Amino acid sequence: MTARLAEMGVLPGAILKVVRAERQGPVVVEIRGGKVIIGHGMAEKILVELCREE
Amino acid sequence: MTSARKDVIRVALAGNPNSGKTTVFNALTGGRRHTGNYPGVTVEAELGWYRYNGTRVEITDLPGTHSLSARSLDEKVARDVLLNRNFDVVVCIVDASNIEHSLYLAIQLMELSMPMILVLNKNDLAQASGYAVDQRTLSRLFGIPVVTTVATRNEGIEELRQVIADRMNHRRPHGISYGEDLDRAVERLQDRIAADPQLNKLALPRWLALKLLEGDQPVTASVLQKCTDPDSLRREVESLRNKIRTCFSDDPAVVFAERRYGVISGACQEAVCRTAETRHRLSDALDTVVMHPLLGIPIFLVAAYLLFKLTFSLGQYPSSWIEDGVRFISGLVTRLWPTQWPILARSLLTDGIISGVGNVLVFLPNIVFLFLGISILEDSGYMARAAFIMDRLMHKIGLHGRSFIPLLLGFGCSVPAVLATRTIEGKKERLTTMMIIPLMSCSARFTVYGLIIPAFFPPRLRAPVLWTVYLIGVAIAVAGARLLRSTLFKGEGRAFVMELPPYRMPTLISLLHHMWFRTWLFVRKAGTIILLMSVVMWFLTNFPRTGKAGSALDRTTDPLQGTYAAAIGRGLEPVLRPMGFDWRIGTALVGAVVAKEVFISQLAIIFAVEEGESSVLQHRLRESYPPLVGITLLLFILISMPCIATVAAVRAESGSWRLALAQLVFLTVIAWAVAAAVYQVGVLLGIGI
Repeated sequence: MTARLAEMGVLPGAILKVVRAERQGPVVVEIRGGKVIIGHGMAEKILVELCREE
Repeated sequence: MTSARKDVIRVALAGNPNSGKTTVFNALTGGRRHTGNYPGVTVEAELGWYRYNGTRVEITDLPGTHSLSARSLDEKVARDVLLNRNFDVVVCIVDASNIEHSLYLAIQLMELSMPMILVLNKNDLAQASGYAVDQRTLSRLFGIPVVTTVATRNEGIEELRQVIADRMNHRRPHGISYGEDLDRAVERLQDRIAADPQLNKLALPRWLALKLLEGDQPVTASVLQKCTDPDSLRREVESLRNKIRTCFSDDPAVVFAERRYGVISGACQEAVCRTAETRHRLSDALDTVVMHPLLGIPIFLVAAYLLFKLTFSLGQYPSSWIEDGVRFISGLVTRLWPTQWPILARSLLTDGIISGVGNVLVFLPNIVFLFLGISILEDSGYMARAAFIMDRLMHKIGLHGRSFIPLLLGFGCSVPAVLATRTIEGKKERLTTMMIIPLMSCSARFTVYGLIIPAFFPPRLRAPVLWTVYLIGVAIAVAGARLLRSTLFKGEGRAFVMELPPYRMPTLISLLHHMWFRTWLFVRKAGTIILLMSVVMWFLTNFPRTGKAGSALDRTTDPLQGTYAAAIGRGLEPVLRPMGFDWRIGTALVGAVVAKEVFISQLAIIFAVEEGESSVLQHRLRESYPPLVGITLLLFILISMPCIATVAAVRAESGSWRLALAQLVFLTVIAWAVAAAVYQVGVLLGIGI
């Protein structure tokens, strides 16, 4: 299922902004100038590291 | 340019769901459109045409998709149509205000190497958000014409017409490069495919090679089937895929997607200039409320309530006009029927065909308003939020947020709901959703509740009983979905990934367009079947002729006595007994197979009550049955067999008669079990008898 994420532009090395994330339920991220909803289970498996706010 | 003198240009219109594709389609064709099937695949399509300087331009509107990976049915349809038919040019609509995301589809279209025109729509929004897209640079980079439009204001449409009409503009895009290593793998496979004459016919060898490497299921299956030496090809594909996997330490599909975005980023860096960062402020502000973890659900419930309020309160007036109209025409035919003509033919016309058509038409206003409401929610961007809010709940039953929209539609009518499952990714989720849709109590069932509930319950209990019936349907659906997802459709849930478009004001023309298209689907799918079955029912309720002259209209007490329908009803009686039903209800249930609301008219015939006089019928029901039977009847109508139209829709959408029939059988068995259990317990405890 990483392929589907990749098609939405959620790719290794990409910079994204988490717009909304609760303890349950899907997560909204902003990436490449658009917003994408990602299911909680999937979102949990995405490794991110903090980068400085631009 | 051998085809330069041909005066028909065939255009395929592609684009993301939120790119304003429908608006461009309408602006181009000026409303000259009709609905037909996509060539080669039996899926409904919108076709339009216009004339430009003597050239006839025919446009096929593809389903709005984000990609061509064929992971959802919509994507598969779009892809198959493009592959099956030789279009002169593909026009790809790109949302200029969300350019990086929407160029992904464009890149995939370029891989098909068909002549292409890129349209940057919503340029006004892009500018308002601080973007400036240089169309000339993009055109040079991709090697195809690029046109900028604001379709809602008709800007750029004339230029687009001009570009489409000139065959000099139908250029194939530059090939996409994925970097040296990947390109080499693609080329190697491509040469091999090109050497196989069978595969050569299937599609462009380079595209096939790409899809094989990406691990695209449908393409791989059809290539291996057509291929002369499938085993060695499979081995070669696997070894190349493994090489990519080790080289890039990622799945080949991800690697290719990454490269596509690489191409997009490169193009955007050169062609897009960011002037200011003031994007979608209003949209963000709205989302903090609408998608709020606590406020989101009540807001959604209000939206859903308004949707149904709109559907039923606005729909009831035209519905009653249509009802009156049908009765008037039927009466007119009866009065004007020449006495020397056979009375049987008159009966077929009035009781069979006219009332059958009436049965379809009466629902039309409700359906039209429902679809209008749904289109407003969809076009405004709210549906994606609803999917977001409901995902948490849907997740618990093994489905995801996207399944929610079809289920919501199910409260209106199962047929369009089944059709709406096309956007769901993952076959198992899609089929599970389809299977539980009939448990969402549709508007036809509502009319039956409207008859039965007032007949058996005092006014203060009516609303709670109605709510309970709906909730029981939902509860069984939830249990059913969980059961299906852990047995028949077992498997890891597809991750829920969906684009969240910014809000926008829906345009009237696009709303009407969507509404009209869906209504037409309903009429065609449901209407024809209901009409046919009405004639069958007419036959069952009028034959064998028992010597009594005249049709059902001239009846005295029980005109169904001795007919096939009554025979079926009586034959079913032993099965119906445990639920407290007798042959009269059984006979009416035979009618409900066609469409749930037919139950009422059948009951009216059996109790010899004029149609429309529901209070008389309710009185007769109250006299004949205890309240307990009212409850079991509600339950049985709620759960049992979906109507013929739904069965047909499920058959068409799942591609399997077995699933459609299994659904029918299972739901009926469950209905029987629930109703019988309730009745038996009721009798035992002496409640409601």
